[in-house]
Amino acid sequence: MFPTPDLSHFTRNDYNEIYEPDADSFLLLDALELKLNKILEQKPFIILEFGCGSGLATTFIAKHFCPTSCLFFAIDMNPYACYSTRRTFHQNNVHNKHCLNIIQCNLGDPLIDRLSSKIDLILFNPPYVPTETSDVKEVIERTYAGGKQGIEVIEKAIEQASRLLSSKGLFYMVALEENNFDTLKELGNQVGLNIEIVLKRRTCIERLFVVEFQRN
Amino acid sequence: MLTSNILKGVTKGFPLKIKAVKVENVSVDYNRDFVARILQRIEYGALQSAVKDLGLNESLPETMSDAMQQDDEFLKLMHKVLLEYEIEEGELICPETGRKFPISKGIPNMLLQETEVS
Repeated sequence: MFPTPDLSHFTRNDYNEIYEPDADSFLLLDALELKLNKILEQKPFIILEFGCGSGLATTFIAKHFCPTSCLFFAIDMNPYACYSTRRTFHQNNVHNKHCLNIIQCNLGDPLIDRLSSKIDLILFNPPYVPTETSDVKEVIERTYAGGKQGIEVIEKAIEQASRLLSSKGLFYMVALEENNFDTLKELGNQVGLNIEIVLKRRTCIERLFVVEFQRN
Repeated sequence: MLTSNILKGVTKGFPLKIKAVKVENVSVDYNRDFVARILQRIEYGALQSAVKDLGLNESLPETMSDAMQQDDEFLKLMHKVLLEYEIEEGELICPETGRKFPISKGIPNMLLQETEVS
């Protein structure tokens, strides 16, 4: 088991602005570790995280999955998440080895043209809780509000991933049982991605799983 | 600087023009292989524009040949330009629409309003 990146630089106040890593975040790390060999085989060079939040997953990858220097892109709509990701990257001393580019934006909108078919690894712990609509104004609410069936943001992320992934690139995403595996499979198929379940876990309030997408 | 070479604006807006208010020089360890790999993914013309936008005192060759991508001196220059200049405060400007994207504390804000999304 790889140790979880150091998050001791955050205080309660920080977690009023960004999502505090929880069971879903740790499930993603566990799933990545389970796929360590497969990921290492791809020799990832360009890595992207949608909705980087605290920067936990990006830093975890930088620390344990990248023997050589890599190029990271971390994006979030929330400016505090952008700054927090940079802090976590520095706190864990991976900033000297790797190059981290942080951009405040909505999923990969401004990156798609230039990074099309170039990204080797994409991570996403999406706002998956079903809400009336994904258009929420409160910053912290955006960290979990996923729109109808929690699927609106996910649908867009899958579509973008299908354009961004390199030929053997891998896309790992956390999902909730309500998101429905068959729906995710269908969304992936529509854009030429295969899907498989990496890891499932039941917490006291929800059933979570992590899926892997790859070009078929 | 590297980030600005990847981002694009509202529609076809690339490369974004850079208006820098505060540029910081950071020191990054030179890693030859890393720079060489990044160069394969760079739009060299856009990088030249960026260097001009910032008014950097760095003279980049007119074009980038394959041979140059093996040349240590050139790679070191690219390392410096791409990785050691950080735009802390300023803005990126879409060449098509004129839309300005602010850069604050080193992070560009590329969020669009609903009405801007095509």
